Amino acid sequence: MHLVTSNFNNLYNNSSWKVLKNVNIDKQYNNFYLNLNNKFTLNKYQTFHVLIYLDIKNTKKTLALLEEIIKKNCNKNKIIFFYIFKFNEINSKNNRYVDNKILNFQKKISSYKKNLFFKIFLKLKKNFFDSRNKKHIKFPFDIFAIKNFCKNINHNLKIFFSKPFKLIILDCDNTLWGGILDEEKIKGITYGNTKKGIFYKNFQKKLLELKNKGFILSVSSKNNEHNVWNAMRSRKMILQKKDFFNSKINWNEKYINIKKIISELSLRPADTLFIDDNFLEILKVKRLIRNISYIHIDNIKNIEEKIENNLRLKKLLISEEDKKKIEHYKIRNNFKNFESKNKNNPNFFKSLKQKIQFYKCNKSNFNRALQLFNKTNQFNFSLRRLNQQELKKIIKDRKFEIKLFGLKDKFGDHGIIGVYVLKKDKSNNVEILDFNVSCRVFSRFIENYVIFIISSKYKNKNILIKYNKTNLNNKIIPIFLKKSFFKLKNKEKNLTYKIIPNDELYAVKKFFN
Amino acid sequence: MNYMLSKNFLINEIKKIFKKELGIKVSIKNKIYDHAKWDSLGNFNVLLKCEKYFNIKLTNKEFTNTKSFKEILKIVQKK
Repeated sequence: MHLVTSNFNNLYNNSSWKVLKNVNIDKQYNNFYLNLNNKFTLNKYQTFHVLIYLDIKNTKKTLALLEEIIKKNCNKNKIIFFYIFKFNEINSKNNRYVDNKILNFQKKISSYKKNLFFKIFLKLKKNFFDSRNKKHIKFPFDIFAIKNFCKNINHNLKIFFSKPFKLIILDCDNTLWGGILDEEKIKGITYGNTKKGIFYKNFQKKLLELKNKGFILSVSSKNNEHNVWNAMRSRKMILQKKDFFNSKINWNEKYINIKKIISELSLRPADTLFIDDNFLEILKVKRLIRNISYIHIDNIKNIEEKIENNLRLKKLLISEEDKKKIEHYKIRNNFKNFESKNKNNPNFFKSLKQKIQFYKCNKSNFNRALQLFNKTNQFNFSLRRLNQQELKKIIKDRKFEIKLFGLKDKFGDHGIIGVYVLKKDKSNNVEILDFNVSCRVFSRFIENYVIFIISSKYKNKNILIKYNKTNLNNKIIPIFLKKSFFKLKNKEKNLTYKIIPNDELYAVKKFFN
Repeated sequence: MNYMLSKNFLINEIKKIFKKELGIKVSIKNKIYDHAKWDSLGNFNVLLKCEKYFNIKLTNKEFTNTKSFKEILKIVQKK
């Protein structure tokens, strides 16, 4: 559920609010301050939408209350959207006063933006407001304003529920810069502070922002690789070689390169965005790689707008894992290189010095746990998508055991890469309800090791694991379930397997420190 | 006859507004607080909807003093 609260009378029972689904409209007048300081209310809702009306009389006081809320920021995991509607005062001096107050407020809040989002409407038309409604029902707007509120709230809810892309694959010529590098050479391509070059520069700025939010950038381009990196360096572009990961720059067909990039990162085409100026290339890629998304750059001037309008390029909460994502993939790449060189080495896994650490789910890793429930697909037994409330309930309930696990090896720290939830009942059964592992670390016996740890901990119990088979998780898990320590018990809608520890399971111990 | 037709038409439309805004069935004899949902805020919601639906604007006085079906009808007819 989501809550709409404000500093005016919301007309909570007005039929115009009905377009919002699963949204509670606060019945109380001017109740935003209490709501956002109340831990019970903060825990109850997934997102908050705070509508603020500002005029000459209430600006100072309201902004002070908002600042207080922002500084306290009682629950940093809660997403709060503030929509500030400024009334245009007739007296220009008063108008300037309110504007200045809002500007100062914007400056002050800029460092607190992690989970708080602001949309400030400074120049609204006069007919957006209604003095009669303000006087008699403490609703300072014309009634059609509710439709405007709903539109904004629905837009933000769509962002909240959208699944961000994981990988952005870019072309170079006429995408990262204007012109063809091979023909026009480094000095001839369009990039920089020129009339057209600024659009490419801004586009790269936007891409860098996305990279910092945890989107992986990669290049698939028909070009000479050395020349591409050289061009970026010589022209002092915003994006440099270090910002891209697993790029494939050669004269092969693009779809072949893109397929390689996706599979080497163990990602799905559905989580990949391809950006190119050549529509024929896009069509070819689209035809040969199912479910891949694309953006066609028909005019570089429109690209920022296209990026801005794409909900899957927005990320509300950015976790520490997101920021470290590229580092983790680099570590993974080092592992892959090592693996290809040491394929035949019988002590390969031992030489990795793998170490699994288990963690309780707490404040510091709560967002990562949420991500693992909502983002992992391929190795996700239940495909249960838990929200904050549901996860908190599981953490508090003694019937359940929730553990996160992280991986370290000789190449570095891969971070938290998986989670499991067990249900313990009074009988002799322990049921693994959820078992999710990030695709970054497949085929390293981590899944086996976690099962080994669980079965060692609950030696005398019946350990069961349920598998909810769907199109999203039907590739890797069935292979894993062929291991000899799984025995199919129930073939109903959710397949149930019993874990019977044997030598194959115990053997995994030797691969970990 | 035309007057009567338009009056009946307006009565039906206002009834529909009550149904949509407050989810209640009303008759021409009803007034504010006859139904639990027809409270002061409900009344304002109905008036705001009538303004929008019939493309009229109520004065401050009308907005605060209109509290029965008949009064709503009278104002809508007048405008």
